[in-house]
Amino acid sequence: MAAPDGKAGETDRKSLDELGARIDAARQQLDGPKREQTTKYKTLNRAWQMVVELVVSVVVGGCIGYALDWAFGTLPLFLVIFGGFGFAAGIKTILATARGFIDEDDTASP
Amino acid sequence: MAKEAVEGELNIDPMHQFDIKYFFDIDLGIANIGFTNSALFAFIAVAAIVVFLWSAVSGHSLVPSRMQSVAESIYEFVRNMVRDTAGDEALKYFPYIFTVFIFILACNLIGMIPYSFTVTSHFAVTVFLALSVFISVTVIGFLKHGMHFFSFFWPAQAPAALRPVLCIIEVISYLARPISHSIRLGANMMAGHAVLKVIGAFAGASALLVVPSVLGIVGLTALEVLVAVLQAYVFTILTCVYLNDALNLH
Amino acid sequence: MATENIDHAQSGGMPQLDFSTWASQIFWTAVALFVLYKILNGSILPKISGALEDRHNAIADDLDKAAELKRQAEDAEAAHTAALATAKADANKIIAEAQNEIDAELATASAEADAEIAARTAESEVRINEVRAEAQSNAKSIATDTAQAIIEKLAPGLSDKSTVEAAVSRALSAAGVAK
Repeated sequence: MAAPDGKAGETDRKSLDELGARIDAARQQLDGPKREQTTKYKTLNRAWQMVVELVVSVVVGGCIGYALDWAFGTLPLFLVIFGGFGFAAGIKTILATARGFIDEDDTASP
Repeated sequence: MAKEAVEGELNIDPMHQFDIKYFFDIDLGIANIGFTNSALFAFIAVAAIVVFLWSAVSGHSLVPSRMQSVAESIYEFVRNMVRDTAGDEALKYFPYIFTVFIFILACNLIGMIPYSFTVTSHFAVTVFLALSVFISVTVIGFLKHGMHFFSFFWPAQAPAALRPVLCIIEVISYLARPISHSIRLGANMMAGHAVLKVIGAFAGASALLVVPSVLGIVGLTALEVLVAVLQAYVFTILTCVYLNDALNLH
Repeated sequence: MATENIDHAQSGGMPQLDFSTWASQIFWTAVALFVLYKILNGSILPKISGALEDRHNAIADDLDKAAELKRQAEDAEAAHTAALATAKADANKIIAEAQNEIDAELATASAEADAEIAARTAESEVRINEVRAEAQSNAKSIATDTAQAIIEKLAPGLSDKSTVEAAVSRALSAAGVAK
């Protein structure tokens, strides 16, 4: 007499636990932020992006240098110096961009 | 390319599609701000966005229709992007960022339609967009941090001797931002459309080339749609990154 | 390209670098963006966020309700288990009581039966003894009579009743002892 009752209680228990797990999962999905997947084509864009960043930085540095040269009449002293600075700035931006990509991949993978 | 151009020969002008045509002139003396095909397609983009979003949200039901759920995913996508990249504080600028994102997205996608015009393939537009972001973000940084905003350029943890040099480098890379920001979007949109045009011209040039050209156009068009979406995303996420720098100074 | 039909020669083939069109493009882009921003921020974005908020709240409410129902189910299950345990205990108690009662009744009955059996046995013994005594006395009188009659036949007038009786009982007791 006790055996079937005990079994029924057990299955009830199990389904209740399952229900609890489902409620928790749904709640987590409701509250937790959703992660978007990175597309493969993003990598395609990265090399191009880095080249642009480097060139633009050199050009901006060169422009500042050229302006200083124009003001002081020292062409091409500051043009060269600030071109170098621009190159360094470009490298720095590229490194930051690359770090951003790595973070992005890290957060996207798990 | 042959000088003795014949009918059906490679008669390609891939840049022709980017021509600005004036419908009427509004001459202010210093500049002509007449209404052009670019302006027309900018307003077509605005109208398309408004029609799409308006019809999507007008139902406003608890269980969303397909359109509504697309509109809501775009909304949540941009919102999560802003919050994840620049923090909760940046959410008050979300309407601006969303406007820029959806405008660029719509312009990029409308540009995919044959014989249409891609507003975002012109540097005038992308430079304007990027400079607006640059100036707004810089102003936001100064409003929030005051003169302390300059510490963003001052590498305090670097060796003392290197600091001035590093500071110049920081300033240069900061100034380079709006330029690379605008070139990335404009050049991508321009290059993709130019390439499509060139391959399309190949198809018209010789019967032998029709099949590979059409296949190439189909593939490239798919890629271009992807690039159109991706570039809108990239422009927006960079906006968020710059906003994050201004709000949180790294 | 050799066959270009350039109508934008001043820009070197790239309409993007024809700066005479920049003012117009920037102006109209700004206008378009401003209009778009006004419309989006004015009605569409609040609507979307309202819909999302409503849905979020509705789902949260439903989840709360589900959790509450689950809790109720758990309570019911606990109550059910407790009731089951009580019933089991009660049943066990009742069974034990019945067992005890039966045992007690059985003991009483068997004691009664034992007593009756003992009484009957005692009664029977008494009767047996009576019968035996009667038989013995009968045997004695028969033996006496017989002995007397024999003596009368052998030696008439010699029979002394008391002497015969004594002899018979002596003989009888001797036989009884031998038995």
